[in-house]
Amino acid sequence: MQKLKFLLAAVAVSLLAGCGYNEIQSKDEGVKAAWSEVLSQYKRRSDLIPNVVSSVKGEANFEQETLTRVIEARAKATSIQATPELVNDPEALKKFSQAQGEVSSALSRLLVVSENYPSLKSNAGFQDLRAQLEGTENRIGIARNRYIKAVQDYNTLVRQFPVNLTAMVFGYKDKAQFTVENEQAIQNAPAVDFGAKK
Amino acid sequence: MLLRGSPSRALALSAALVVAAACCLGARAAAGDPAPQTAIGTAINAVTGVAKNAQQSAAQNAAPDRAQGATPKPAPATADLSDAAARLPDGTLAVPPLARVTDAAGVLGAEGKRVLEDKLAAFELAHGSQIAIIVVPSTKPEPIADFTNRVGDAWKIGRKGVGDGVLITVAVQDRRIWISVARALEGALPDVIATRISREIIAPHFKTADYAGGLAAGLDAIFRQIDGEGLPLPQRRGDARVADSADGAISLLLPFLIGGVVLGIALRRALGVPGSLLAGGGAGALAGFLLTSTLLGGIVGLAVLFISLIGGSSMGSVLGGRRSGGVFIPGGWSGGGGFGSGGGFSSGGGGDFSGGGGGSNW
Repeated sequence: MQKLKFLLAAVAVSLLAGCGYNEIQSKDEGVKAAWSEVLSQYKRRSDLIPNVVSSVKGEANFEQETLTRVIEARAKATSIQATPELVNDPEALKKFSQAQGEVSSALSRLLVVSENYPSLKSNAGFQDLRAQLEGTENRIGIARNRYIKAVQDYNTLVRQFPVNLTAMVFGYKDKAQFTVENEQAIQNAPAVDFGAKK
Repeated sequence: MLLRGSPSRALALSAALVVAAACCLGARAAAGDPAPQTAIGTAINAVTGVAKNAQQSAAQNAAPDRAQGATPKPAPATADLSDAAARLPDGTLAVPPLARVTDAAGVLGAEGKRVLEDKLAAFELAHGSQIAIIVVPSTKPEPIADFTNRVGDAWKIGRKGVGDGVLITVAVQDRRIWISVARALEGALPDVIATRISREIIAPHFKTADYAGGLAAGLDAIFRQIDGEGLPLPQRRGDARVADSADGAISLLLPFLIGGVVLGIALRRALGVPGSLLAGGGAGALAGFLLTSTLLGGIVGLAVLFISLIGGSSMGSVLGGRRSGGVFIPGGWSGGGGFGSGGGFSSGGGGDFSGGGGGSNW
């Protein structure tokens, strides 16, 4: 009987490995890594904005409304606690993504408007900032796509039989995905691209 | 043993377990998973990984040939530019076959293209970084940065383990340049510098339709940036060091192989097939533990297993041992280098294009 118990335990352990427990772990880590990348790119943009704002403020009669919109959108976006746990809460993720989307559109508006100010156009410092912003928008787009891919992999795994049983037992749930409207938002966002349509 | 308690219950239980196991394995196979992650699986993975590397590089080499049909031959400069590149169903450009210089717009000319290719090949030889240029008529409707990153993601140019790749795209009709920088070079070539190079060095040449000259000047500027970065030096093709490391590995593995085979044949004679398994597993585990490499351990284990299976049942084995060792080991190293073989260009597979870079219009 002792031997039988031992055997059953061994079988159970090997089944656990066979039924995707380890795979859930690795995909879960993959989602976390992809999400950290998204967060760090948003953070990078958020850190750039004060520089952009201050260099635009130097411009005598810059459209105040555009500037305020950027400042407000950034304030709103940074007020949302961006934590790794956001991936488990679709509602919170949606809010976060929307707030960041507003920053994107406010920024792109600002960059389009800045085209009308010749002194900004010839200002090397501002042009460099612009290049950095543009690169950051690209990075955000790619980080988001990679996150979407990682979540898709994870969710597919966790929902499929028999891994869904393992996931249920250990309490692994679906991760929140960027929704389609958000997808639309990124498609439209970086008109930062030298005024070229994205 | 199972049948001792209550036979029918134990039977049902074991049947259920078998079904569950089978369905687990089935589902995993359906999900495209190579093998269950048990110790044996890992050892098998270690060795099949070698074969896979070889397959992959073969596939990579074959890929350009397959895709060749999709891309037209460089058109003469007077040709209509609009149809000169293959497009996907959604209207975006297809990823072109891997090449140092792709001129789908036909604006570089044969001579200009050759000069650029030589320049890039020489730089790769001297510094290791892989740089490629794509000239297309237009990337619309896709933004040029997205196209460039998409191609970079597919090609993954840049050395394995270093990831130093740069991809330059020119869209002639859109009048746009984009320099995409793999993550490893984002320090040497930050967005700001990439933008400046395209705006201040390349664009002025393009304004006078001097495409080859502009790209050459841009490359010089990029080379200067990468030069100061202190990246690892390239390993030359057919490098002595590669051969050395393979030799070193063989001489490291030899004691385990010989000891394992001798033991394995003895055990095979005494115990039959399980003896070989025992010797193979033991030698593999020992080698893996002492050399701190699962791959080497797996190679030793499998080699000992096979040799003792064959050798123990029939004739002498020392010769067979050497041969098998030789077959397994070089495969492990040829996968890693990822260097241009012959005159062609092959991607190192290390570049991670995650959005860095910059561009301008002209």
